[in-house]
Amino acid sequence: MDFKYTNDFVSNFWSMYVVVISLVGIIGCGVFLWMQGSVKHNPGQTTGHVWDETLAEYSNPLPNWWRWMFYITVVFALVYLVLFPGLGTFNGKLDWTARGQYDAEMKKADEQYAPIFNKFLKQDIMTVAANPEAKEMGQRLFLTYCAQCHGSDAKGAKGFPNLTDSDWMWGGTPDKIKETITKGHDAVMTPKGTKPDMDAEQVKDVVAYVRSLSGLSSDSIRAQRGKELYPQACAACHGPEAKGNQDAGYPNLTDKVWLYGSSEAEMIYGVTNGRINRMPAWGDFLGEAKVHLLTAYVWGLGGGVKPAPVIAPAAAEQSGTAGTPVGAVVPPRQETN
Amino acid sequence: MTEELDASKTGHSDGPPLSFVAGAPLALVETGLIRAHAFAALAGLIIAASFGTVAAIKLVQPDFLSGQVWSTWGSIRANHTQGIIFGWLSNAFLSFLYFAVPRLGGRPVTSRRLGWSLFALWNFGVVLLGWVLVSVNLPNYFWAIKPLEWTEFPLAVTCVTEFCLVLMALQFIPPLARKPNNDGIYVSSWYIIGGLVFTMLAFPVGSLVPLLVPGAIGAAFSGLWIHDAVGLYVTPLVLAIAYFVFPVRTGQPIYSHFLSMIGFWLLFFSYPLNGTHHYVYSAIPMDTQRAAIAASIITGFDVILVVLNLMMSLRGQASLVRRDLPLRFVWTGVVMYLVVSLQGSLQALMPVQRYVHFTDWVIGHSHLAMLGFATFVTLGGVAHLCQRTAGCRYHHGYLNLAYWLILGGLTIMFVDLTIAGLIQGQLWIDGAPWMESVRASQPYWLVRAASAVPILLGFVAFILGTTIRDENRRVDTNRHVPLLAAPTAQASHG
Ligand code: HEC
Ligand code: HEC
Repeated sequence: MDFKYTNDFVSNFWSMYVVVISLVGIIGCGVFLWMQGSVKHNPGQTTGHVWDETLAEYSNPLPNWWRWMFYITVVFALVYLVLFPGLGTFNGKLDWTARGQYDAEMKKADEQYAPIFNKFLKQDIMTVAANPEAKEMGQRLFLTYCAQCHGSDAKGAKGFPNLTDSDWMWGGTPDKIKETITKGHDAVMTPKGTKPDMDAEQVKDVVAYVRSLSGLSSDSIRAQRGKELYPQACAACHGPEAKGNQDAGYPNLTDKVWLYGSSEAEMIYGVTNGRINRMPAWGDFLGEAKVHLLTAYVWGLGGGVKPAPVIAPAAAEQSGTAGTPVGAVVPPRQETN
Repeated sequence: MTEELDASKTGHSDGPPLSFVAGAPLALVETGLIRAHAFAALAGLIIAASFGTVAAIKLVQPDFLSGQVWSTWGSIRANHTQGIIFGWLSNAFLSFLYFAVPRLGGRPVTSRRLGWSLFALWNFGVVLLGWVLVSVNLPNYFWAIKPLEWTEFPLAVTCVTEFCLVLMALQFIPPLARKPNNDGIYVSSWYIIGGLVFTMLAFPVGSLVPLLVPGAIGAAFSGLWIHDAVGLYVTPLVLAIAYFVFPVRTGQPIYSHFLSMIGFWLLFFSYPLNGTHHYVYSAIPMDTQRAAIAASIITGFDVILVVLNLMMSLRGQASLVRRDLPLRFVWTGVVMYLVVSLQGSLQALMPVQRYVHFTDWVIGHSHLAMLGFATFVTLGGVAHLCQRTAGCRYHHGYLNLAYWLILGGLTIMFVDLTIAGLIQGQLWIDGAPWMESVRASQPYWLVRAASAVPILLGFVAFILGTTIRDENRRVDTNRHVPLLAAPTAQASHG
């Protein structure tokens, strides 16, 4: 294990500071108590001092059971600091590290779960999606890593796509979904599309046109004017027929599925100000095996698209995944510096 | 002011005849400041507790009061915790200090004018300003909410707070430190002096230094304030109240001067390192974490000693503890002090910590400390000084009701959060999806939100018990005159 002692505390100063305070504090407590052993007491009598007419204190000695218990805590503290890394860069007699504990636990988990992950990694996505055990594992992963954006039912929210329908911005075949999860995606719509000199009226016109494509209420005169603006302002991304482009993640504007809802105000806002959206990349963080299970889970939610028959699905799946070391399931956490 | 003195002799009939004689010190007491701070404290208690209630409801109903900056969970939580320490506890401590310091020192506090300036500065410059600034959350660094636990009030307020802490030390330490009639310094005075000096020093260390040295070093320093606020500010002042109220209410001396002193010095010896046990299993050096753990164990044993000393001081007084309300409040707080401290020492150990870290167990622990220990003792202190302040009597019925309501609510909340914490910890260790732990927590959060009802009602009952006039009470029980009534009311009762 190549664990290095690295942290924010680059100079020795803080280590020494803590060492001094700990040792002076602990030994000081012990010595302090020891010195008090010679104090004379008059059990049952007060010290003779009275405040505010009633406040007084007896002069009773320390109970011996407590005194010994306290000495034991002082010894405990010292032994503890010898066994564990408590004094500066001294690693402790037990050679314990938090990092070591973490690694050991991860190793144990890997050993326990590796065979299962391995088994599924060798199967193609559609087979895995049909397996109830894999589905359950996929759901657990989804609830942990994806639910905060896509919702625990995967139905999405404003700005976060619904993964259970058959409408895909980036494609719904196993390959495409896997690519989305592994590499993530950035989606950018520039303000006012490719025609930044549009004024507010023209934006309304082009939005009216887009709305008319999916049968949403719109002013037909505006829509007519918008139709003329569309090729110049929008077609570069959304396509001449506004059917979008799954290779680049440009949404289809004719399919009645809206990422930001179907209200006119929302569309005007989006077209005027543009949109920036990001699906994070998970490949490095989760490792191939978990991404594989997640892909199968998402694919199996209802909207998964069968791969085009030209490519033999199994071959395509296997080529990328076979022989991946299971150790990569959980990438080692980065060392903070 | 002399007619008030007789009133205090006739009061209290539940306990043994009190040797409390209205001697010279009473004339030195600033009654106006006692009342003003007590009033501010109780108002702060209700407001801060209401913030806490809203935060609890939001966990059950996330849309409750949503949409405004001031009502987001983050600001509400900060206003709750800061309100409790600065609005409620600090004001109550100040009220108690104006009551006790002249009695302990035999001379008046440094200056009455300083007192009123401090009152205004503290309540308007710290508590109210802090609440307002957190609520509007301005973008400016100086005025914005600070991302440091237990010192979330903005930097501007932090500066005022530190200034006030210095003023407090000037106000209360000189009369205590100069020995009255060569009588030595009573244990409460030790705690007051220690608490004020250490707080004045610990507060900037924990709430300014992290801004200068960001990153993990800053976090380590902020840990010092998170815990020193508890251990070097709240604990000493609360123990000062306990050491004051016990012998006065029972007429019986403290069990051992020697134990008092050892307890005091060990607290201040072992506490400063404790703070970093909030960062066990985190990115600060392992030596700091381990040292904090060792210190936490030692502190636990110190608490055993302090509680032993206090409990032995009540030997033979069981029935009085049951009958006498201020005593019962303080006694309950001291019992919880023992429980919460032993729990705290255990929690610092790594095997326990990895289980409970970030769970509701910790929230249960902190409420046992601040509500169970600090608030119970302080309420007892306020009830006691209410009884002993010119023209005031608490209302036995209301206060008894308050006691049971708060105790009941706290017990429900503590048990509930502790169980919730264990369940959450288990689910996380099992690697269950986060959402599962959220779902499992729902019923417990509901119960926790419900536990706010008895607690809030209890606080209201306490306020009624110290402010409402009850003319019909029999003379032989505690005659009741509101703590916050105008001073002229004294004459008719004198
Ligand atoms: C930080 C929020 C966030 C998280 C977490 C997240 N996603 Fe996404 N995801 C998005 C956004 C935003 C998009 C849409 C990107 C776009 O606009 O093109 C998206 C798109 C997708 C798509 C493509 C949808 C389509 O229509 O083509 C898939 C599949 C997907 N996510 C799966 C996942 C999975 C599986 C996880 C868990 C490992 C996950 N996401 C976690 C935000 C997130
Ligand atoms: C640079 C490429 C680009 C251009 C040009 C462009 N868009 Fe977009 N548009 C996108 C992307 C990418 C998204 C998806 C944004 C997201 O995922 O958040 C999008 C989303 C939208 C949406 C929201 C879709 C939904 O499901 O809610 C509308 C409506 C839209 N565009 C209309 C237009 C119109 C009208 C124009 C012409 C003025 C236009 N776009 C020009 C890239 C573009």
